[in-house]
Amino acid sequence: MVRYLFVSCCLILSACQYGVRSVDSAADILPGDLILVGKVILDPPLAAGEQELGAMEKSQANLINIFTSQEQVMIDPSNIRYGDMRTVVKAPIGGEFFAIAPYREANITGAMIYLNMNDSIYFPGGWRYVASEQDQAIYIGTIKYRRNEFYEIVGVKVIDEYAQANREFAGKFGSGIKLRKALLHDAGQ
Amino acid sequence: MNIFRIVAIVLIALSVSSCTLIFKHSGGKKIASFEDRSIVYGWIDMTESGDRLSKAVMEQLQPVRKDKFYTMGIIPHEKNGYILYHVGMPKGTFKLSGFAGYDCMFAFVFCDAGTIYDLPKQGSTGGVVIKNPGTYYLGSYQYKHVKTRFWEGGKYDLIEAKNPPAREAMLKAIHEQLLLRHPEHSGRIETAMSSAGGK
Repeated sequence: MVRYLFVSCCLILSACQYGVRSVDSAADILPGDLILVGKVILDPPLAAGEQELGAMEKSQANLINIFTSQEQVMIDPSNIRYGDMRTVVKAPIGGEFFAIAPYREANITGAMIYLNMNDSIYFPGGWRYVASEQDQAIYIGTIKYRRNEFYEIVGVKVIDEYAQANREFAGKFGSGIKLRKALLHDAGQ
Repeated sequence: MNIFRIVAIVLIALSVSSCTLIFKHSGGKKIASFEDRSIVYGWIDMTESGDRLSKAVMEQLQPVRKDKFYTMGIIPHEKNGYILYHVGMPKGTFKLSGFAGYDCMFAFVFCDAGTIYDLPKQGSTGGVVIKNPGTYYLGSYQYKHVKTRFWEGGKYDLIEAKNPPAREAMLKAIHEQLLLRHPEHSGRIETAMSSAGGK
């Protein structure tokens, strides 16, 4: 009985997990994994206190959830499902992210930041990355979202900061894995 | 003192305290000086909701503060329409955070428990940026019911009102209200009325 209870608790806790794996060193990588490297910047950045997260949502502090999908769709903020959360890349805002790509070719369908338990801000997507079967790691660029005082997105562009990202990548994963530049491009192309 | 007297005193005290909220800081402190404060006003048409507006709250987005909610004064104006106003808003970025309403079967009896309508932080609907002390117009909005599927929660939208009352008429109604209870603030409204309704 205790064993069943323990397994049930583990299953419930694992169901709370979402998104793809973030990696920090070569030891975290499994054969066939593709590492996705990039960054998301907010302009202006969030001020201290703008995210009001309780103890349960602390893991969302300074984090942006990037939605990926094989479908060419945009995320519907009013109808986000568990399936959408399964392939989310969790990126620190303003910092480089290193995550295992859910697919070799996929679309960025939007992004979301939790401000508090009831409020989130949504960011548009509309880009695509493509990796080959030989790629072990790709750099997709820095997405810069410009916002106004009401959290409306008034501008967005993808910036190439490969040199900086590659330095950080080599520091974490060594020189055994090559980081190929494969910047995000318009999903419609 | 019988029970009816006590209830009457409590009700009067509550209504008086709610009337004075528009002169208070977020957090309930009394505003000492209105020199650096602004008047903010707008209008909501609740026809489609059917609810009587009972509360509206503005949230300060910038600069980030702990005490950031400002309760607005409410004046019924035109059929199912309500003027929202506050005469003591500091500089900053504000947004209508939510409002509440209730419905009654007859006059003031058999009323429901009320409904709270939250607005998302993202989006400029009901937003205002106060840069300098003055009078700021929040906009005129219309409550719009959004059809949802059977298993979905209720949704609504605030759209721009098609035929809102004139800004001058709104300021006049606020002016009348202030003359009645707080004549010392009526001069500020008169200035706004002469400058065609503020920014």
